[in-house]
Parts: sequence; C-alpha cells; structure tokens
Amino acid sequence: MKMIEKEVILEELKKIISVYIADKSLLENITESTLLSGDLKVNSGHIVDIVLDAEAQFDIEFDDASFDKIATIGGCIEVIQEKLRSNANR
Amino acid sequence: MPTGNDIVHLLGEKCANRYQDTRFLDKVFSSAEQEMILRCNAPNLMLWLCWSVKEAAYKLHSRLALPDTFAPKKIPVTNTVTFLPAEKDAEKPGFHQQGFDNTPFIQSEVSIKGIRFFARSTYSSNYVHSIVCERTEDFEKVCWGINLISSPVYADQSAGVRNFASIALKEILSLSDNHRIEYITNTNSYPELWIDGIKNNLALSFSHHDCLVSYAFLL
Repeated sequence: MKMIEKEVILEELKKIISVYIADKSLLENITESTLLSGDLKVNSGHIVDIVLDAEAQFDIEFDDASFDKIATIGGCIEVIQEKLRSNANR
Repeated sequence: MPTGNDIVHLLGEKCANRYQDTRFLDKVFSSAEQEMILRCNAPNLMLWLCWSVKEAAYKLHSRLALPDTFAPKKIPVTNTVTFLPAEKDAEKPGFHQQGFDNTPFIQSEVSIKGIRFFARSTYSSNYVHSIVCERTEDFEKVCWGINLISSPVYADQSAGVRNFASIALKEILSLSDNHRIEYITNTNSYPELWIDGIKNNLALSFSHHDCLVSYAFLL
C-alpha cells in the first residue's frame, strides 16, 4: 500500500473524531500533542469506535498494544503510520 | 474515597446485537470474556454489562492514578454469572438510593493494572448500570441514582446528570436551595464538587448515554 502523508492522516482522523465529540470547534486547533480525552473530550467509550473507524478507513488493524499509544493525536498518527508501513512490507 | 459508574442505553445506536460484531468483540473483550458473553442466556446484555464494568473501573482507577487511555481489553472482568434473570425486577429510572438493599444486582470482579476492584450491576430492558468500588463493604455506603431526561443532546445530558445528583446531595448533606452546588471538571477530566465556592471531598462519578443519566458517590 502507498504510504499516506501525515497531514492526510490527520485530516481523516479529524473527520472520524468529529463524529464522536460534542464540540466540533475543538478540532480547529489540534496538534500532535492534543489529548483525545483531556483536550477533545472524547468519551472513553468512543475510543473503541474511533479505533474501529480508523481501521476501516486505513485498512489496518490496531493490536492491543496500540491502545497504549493513542492518548494523543500524534500517537494515533504514529500507530496508523506504523500499521501502514507493516502492511506495505508484507 | 472514589467510586466509578457507567450507564449504557441498551436501545441506543450501535448497542443492539453488538455481540454478533466480532471485530468489536475482539477489540474490547478477552477470549475468556467473549466465551462468558456468548455462553450467557442474554449475550447482548452481558456484553454491555461487562463493558459498563470496564468503563466504571477505568473511571475509578483514573481517580487513583494518572488517567491512561481506555484500553478495555486490559481491564478483565471475572467471576460474573452466565445466567441473567429477567429484567422485570429492576428499578425504573428516576430514583436515588443508598446501597443495594432490596435491589437485585450482578456482582463481578474487575482489575486494572493489577489492582482488583468489585462491581455491582443492575439492569432493565433499556439500560445496564454498573458501580465499581475498591472494597465490597463500600457498596453499603454508595449513593447512586438513575434518571431519564428528555433530551439526548450531549450538553443536556451533562447538565441533566449534574442537576439530578444535586437533588440527592441537597437531601443527604441537608443543603437548602440557597447553597450553590457546582461541578468543575479538573485537568484529569473528572468532576470536582464545590459547595458555596469551597471544594468538597466527595468524589462523584457521572455517566450519561442518550436520555439516561446516572451518578454515584461514596459517603
């Protein structure tokens, strides 16, 4: 699979996350250090929804260890890039 | 002493027949939990019961340690039952109570990062609600309530659960309407209780899903 730029991943992530947060304006100024729960107020229950949607969007699979890395937007991007890389090397 | 609670609207979007969604099951539940869910006489109810126990345990643990990302598979639920009695005994929303006297519940254990907690779950045909405490004796002191609100909008749920908890607090703490009760969400994303501008040590846990709201705290 062709590697996807970080900015493209970020835009897709914003679309996915926007479904699960009440205040969409919080997405306007997000950075890699933005916290999903603390800053964007993503309900803990929706973390799994976001993971499932990201898996479908990028055709990847988050493993159990991935959950440790997705507290921030940067962490999510890193996991997605890592999974895309391992898909490309298959 | 903190507690954690969680409510799930069983008729909510994405809730019906979720036990048939293997991708979801694999993300959230261990193989032992999946077996327990699928062996249960009411698999979808058991699924959301286990989910609510995990969420409630996560909330409690977040009060005791720095909050981490919610990783449900790392919060194992054990020692629950595989037969759930019919929901006709459960209380309808719109009540406050202390403890579990005369309230049928399902007890289970749950652990997070090696710390064991205890859970009690109640349910009806449209909700499952779980409370998690550090010790079983804490359940006698837990004040909790479930209510139905008219609006499913997030901001209304958030205000609705706070207003509902305030009714219980006023009665328990003998506060008149002149007292100002506020809930300030702190940097770790949980609510702090302030009464007349002074921080109170009661650690409240709030939960809402669609039109259902619930609170829990230990006296």
